[in-house]
Amino acid sequence: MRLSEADGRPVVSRASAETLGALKHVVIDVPARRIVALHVAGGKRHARLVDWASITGFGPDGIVVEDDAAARPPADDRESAVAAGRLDLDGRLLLSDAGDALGAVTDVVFDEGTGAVTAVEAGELSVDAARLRAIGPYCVLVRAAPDDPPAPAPA
Amino acid sequence: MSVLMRAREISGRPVVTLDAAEDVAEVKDVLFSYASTRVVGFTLNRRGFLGSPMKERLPWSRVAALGRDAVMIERRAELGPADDAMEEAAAASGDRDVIGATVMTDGGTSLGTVEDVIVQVGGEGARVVGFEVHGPRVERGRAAATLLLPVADTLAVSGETLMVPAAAEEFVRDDLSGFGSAIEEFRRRLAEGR
Repeated sequence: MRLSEADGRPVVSRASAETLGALKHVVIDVPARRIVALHVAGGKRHARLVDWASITGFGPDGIVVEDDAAARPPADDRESAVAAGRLDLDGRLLLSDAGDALGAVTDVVFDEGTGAVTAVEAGELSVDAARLRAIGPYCVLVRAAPDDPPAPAPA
Repeated sequence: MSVLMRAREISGRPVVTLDAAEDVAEVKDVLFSYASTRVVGFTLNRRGFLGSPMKERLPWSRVAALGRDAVMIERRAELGPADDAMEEAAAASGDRDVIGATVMTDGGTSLGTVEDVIVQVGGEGARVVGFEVHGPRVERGRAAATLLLPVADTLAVSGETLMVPAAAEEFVRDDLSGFGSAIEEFRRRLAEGR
């Protein structure tokens, strides 16, 4: 599934059937190449997240979590940054570790069963998530590959 | 594989950390050793709209990669004092800036003034391989006002003059495409001639 399809999907408590909010951002554990938490926006003033482990169903019409208590405040600076939109993936520069820009991130492909991130897309370009090095305030950093788009001819 | 770039294009590029994907500085000036033609490091500006100069330096020895769009370092802590290579280059060159110097061949012909420095970035580091030169002599019979002049393994630069072998004039190119082979041919010629 693509993150753009899941964006805004309601997050619902199984115990109370209450909608806790809508999926706004995801927290990605880069070394594990996995979505570990969702930032749920709406309703409450303070940023709230749900752990991937709390999800009982990631369906086409809603993301169901165990209960209302699954929503929690950010646990660290990185989660706060994600919730504040400072690590937004959409539109972020995709940079190789050789210092060459590959494009701007347009989507992230993941497995809705496990949260595993499989690819990062920048327009036509799809980069295997195995190449992910870091997601930071400046860019999404990936390992350079021989088949990266060649440097434009110097003027 | 190696890539040619202009020093002016390197200035302004962000310095990005590999551990946090954060832009921690941007390149102000590219510093060379005239004796070895190597890039020895960078002076830095803060990132942002009114980027003020930073006292930290980035020695080449702490650069992970110099790409088309960014200078990569492992972590923020790589920024710091100049290393020995930077100190030596600074001590040898003083504040002499090669930009604006008059290019003089060892035959005594003035070719013009240096507009930019061409840097080759490859596996074994980054070195100066040529200059963009602007002047009536190199313009003669050519469409472009700025031409590329290959350089040898060492540079003689004073405050006003950059001295080049007379043979360099034959290897002048209009643009960067084909300049790489011109550099190799020029170097071969110098090696044979001595």
